[in-house]
Amino acid sequence: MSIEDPIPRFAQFKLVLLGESAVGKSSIVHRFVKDSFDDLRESTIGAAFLTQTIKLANDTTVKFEIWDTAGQERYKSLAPMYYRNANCAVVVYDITQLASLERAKNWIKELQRQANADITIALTGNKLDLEAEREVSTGEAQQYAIDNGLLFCEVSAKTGDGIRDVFYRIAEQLPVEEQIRSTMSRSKPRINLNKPSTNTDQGCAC
Amino acid sequence: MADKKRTPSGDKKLNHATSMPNLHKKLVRPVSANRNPDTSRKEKELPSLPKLRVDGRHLSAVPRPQTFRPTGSGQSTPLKTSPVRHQPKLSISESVDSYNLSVIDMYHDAASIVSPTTDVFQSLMKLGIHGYEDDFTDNYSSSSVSVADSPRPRVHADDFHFTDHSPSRPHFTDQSLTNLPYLFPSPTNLLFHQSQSNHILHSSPGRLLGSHSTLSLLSSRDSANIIRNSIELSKTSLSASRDRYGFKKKSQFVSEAAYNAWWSDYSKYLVRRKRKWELLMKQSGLTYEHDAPVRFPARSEKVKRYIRKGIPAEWRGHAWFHYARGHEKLAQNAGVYDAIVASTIDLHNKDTEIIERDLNRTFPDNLHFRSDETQQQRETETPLVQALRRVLVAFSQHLPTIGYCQSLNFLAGMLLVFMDEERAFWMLVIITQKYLPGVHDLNLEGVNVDQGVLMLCIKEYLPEMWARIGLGLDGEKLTDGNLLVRLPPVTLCTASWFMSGFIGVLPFETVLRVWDCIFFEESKTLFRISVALFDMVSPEVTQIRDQMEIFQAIQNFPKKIINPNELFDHCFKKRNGIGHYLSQEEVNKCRDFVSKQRRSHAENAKMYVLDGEGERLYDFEHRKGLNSVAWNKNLTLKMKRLRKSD
Ligand SMILES: Nc1nc2c(ncn2[C@@H]2O[C@H](COP(=O)(O)OP(=O)(O)O)[C@@H](O)[C@H]2O)c(=O)[nH]1
Ligand SMILES: [Mg+2]
Repeated sequence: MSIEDPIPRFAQFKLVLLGESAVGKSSIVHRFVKDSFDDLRESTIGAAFLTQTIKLANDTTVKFEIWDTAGQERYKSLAPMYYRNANCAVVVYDITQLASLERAKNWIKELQRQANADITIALTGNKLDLEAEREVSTGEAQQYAIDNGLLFCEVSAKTGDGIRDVFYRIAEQLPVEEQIRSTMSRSKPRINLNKPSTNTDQGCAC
Repeated sequence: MADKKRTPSGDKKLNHATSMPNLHKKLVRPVSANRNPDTSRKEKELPSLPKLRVDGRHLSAVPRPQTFRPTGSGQSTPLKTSPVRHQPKLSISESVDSYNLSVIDMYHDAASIVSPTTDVFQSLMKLGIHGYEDDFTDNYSSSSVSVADSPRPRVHADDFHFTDHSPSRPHFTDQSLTNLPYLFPSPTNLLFHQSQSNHILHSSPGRLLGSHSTLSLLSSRDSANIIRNSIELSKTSLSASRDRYGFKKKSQFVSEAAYNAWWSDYSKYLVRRKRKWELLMKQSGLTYEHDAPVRFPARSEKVKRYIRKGIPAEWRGHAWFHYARGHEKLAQNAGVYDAIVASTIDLHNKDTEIIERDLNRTFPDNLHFRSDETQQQRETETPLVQALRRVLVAFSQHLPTIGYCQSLNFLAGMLLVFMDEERAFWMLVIITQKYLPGVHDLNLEGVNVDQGVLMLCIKEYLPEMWARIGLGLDGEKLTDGNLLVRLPPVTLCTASWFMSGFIGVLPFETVLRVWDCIFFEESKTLFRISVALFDMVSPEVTQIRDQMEIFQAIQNFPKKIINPNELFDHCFKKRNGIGHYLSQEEVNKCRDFVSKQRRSHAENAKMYVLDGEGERLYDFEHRKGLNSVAWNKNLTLKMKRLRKSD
């Protein structure tokens, strides 16, 4: 793409958050979308829809359509709706809860079986601020991520540590250029082209 | 059930579940049969009490705990320490012991009926219940306010009298018994109601527990009752940052100023409605003495209209319980709740684990669920949170096909604001069986069925909206043949409307109005309100092309409907208001239809679900698809007829 290209470079992707209840999925989204941490968060029922855009180098805007999900086991029957057509998934575990890593691994297996073949998955250990209560070693989770070809991050929604990183690293892996090219080749541009992020007035429902 | 078996804790749950029938049998036996033979001796040891002043009269109350020993514990030494100390999580000053608590409870009840005195206020402060300072100062210039100014009718101190054999305990006259017991919620209420005798403490079903847990249980329940009474007592004032229920007025979608602007009008409306209700009660030959009626007018068009316009807030708990037939349920299950609580007090399994994680995520912006005073108070559990735990754990044991499902925490939490925990428990049972059948089941099929019904309604009544949302995940148009199996993604959002009965979806005062109708008009209310919401958001949605933005609009729109009348007018009054068309029979029939169709897909066409494109492969399903069209035609005709008659 040349610099004098009149059409802004814009791509949009579906991102789904998965992981056991209370690992901090909604808190991670909230940190990413609002850059704040709310100690008083209600548990998510069903799903919550949010959006956030980020700017990449060479003037590219990437908009994430975020599907924040409820974590309880019984929502499994709704899960295909969550991850179908998802371009990327943030699978969250809580570094202070060993069992939550197992649950994350199960989600990853399901995604590898059922979701888009080219889905980008980021295994994300949350609550890094609770280092003293850590039950999952960085090495163990990281090794699993390497073995399965996943992105790996440790973050804290509370302090904000590493949160932006997760989404920027995902964006790097997404077929941004491909989507922009296909948009260009269509006669009509996407109607939401260049639309500012909607998260300023439509926020988290979690 | 299958996934529960995986963990050892899951097995534990199964064992509990299978032993339940026995437990129930044990429970229904009369309370008196359970009395310890040396109860009477113990009673004599009870010291007399300091007198409490209520409106210029003296009132004795239940004994202090020092010499009281719960029966059936097999413990021979009297309990010397304050029970509160056995329950470190209880956020109550150590100087207030559990029996003082129940004294305060009763005292508070009596006092609040006469006039809120500084004593009550101080009791609340002592218990760490804050936020009512404004209410007291706003409404009453001083603690010696005259009774005539009090919004609540006066209770006569004569209603309390003391029997010869137990001078330290309050008793009720026959006449007062018909009204007063309901002022003393469980367990106090239960005790008075069941025994009406002098076995107040000893006949508590809670004594099935060991002594420590009995006492901490009683004190925790009593504290929860005090809080609930304080909610009853309070009023939303313009100067406070919280509403009468302890919720922050400000939300992400509503500013405090907007709340106050609306409230100054709506509160006048509430006063008018209350007067109408009082009149209706008189006309129906019912009393509303002590501002706490327990019986309500029989079903009629007029009553339905009144309920749609809102039940007076301070009557709600009883009214919901009445119209949902809670009394019947409770009568059939006397003592059952207490026994389940007793048997589950130390339970640990998958369900309780998830319950624990949800306790502090239930109404975190409500003072009574999460105090915002200090960090320390934040970390201590409030009595309502403790009650919430008991109700949810007991429920997960009582109905193992549901166990614990996220969103039950909101339903139970809401009920606990309006009624004592035993009633809240039975209401939760009724709600999950009658009004939201299957919605919280292990596979959530009930919620999928209801979403199917809702989508059929949208398709029928709001075709323009359906054109926007009736798409699959690939943006493909859903057909009659597949829409019930492959529900549109917006149902991920609307599922929460049903699962949590609009709690957290609509502003609190608006949710209350919806709940008023649910218990009188049944589950069709949920569909009517849902369709009305879709109709209201329609102008906004038709401007949007992007699916995700449509979802967000639908998700966020209800949170802004601070004025319940706006929603109700739209639902019930406006021309073409959905509220007039959808009958309960229609809903039942449609639920049946959707459920059958989904089942037949699941059984016969696994491939269909996974494959996504194959409905034509199966003649059988195709026919079902036609049936769905026929069903819709039926609705259309009905609607046309209704429109004509309008
Ligand atoms: N200390 C700490 N607590 C967190 C963090 N993220 C979330 N939490 C807490 O963990 C609980 C669950 O968070 P939530 O976002 O609701 O989890 P979800 O069920 O996965 O959406 C809440 O009480 C949060 O306050 C974190 O990074 N650090
Ligand atoms: Mg969440």
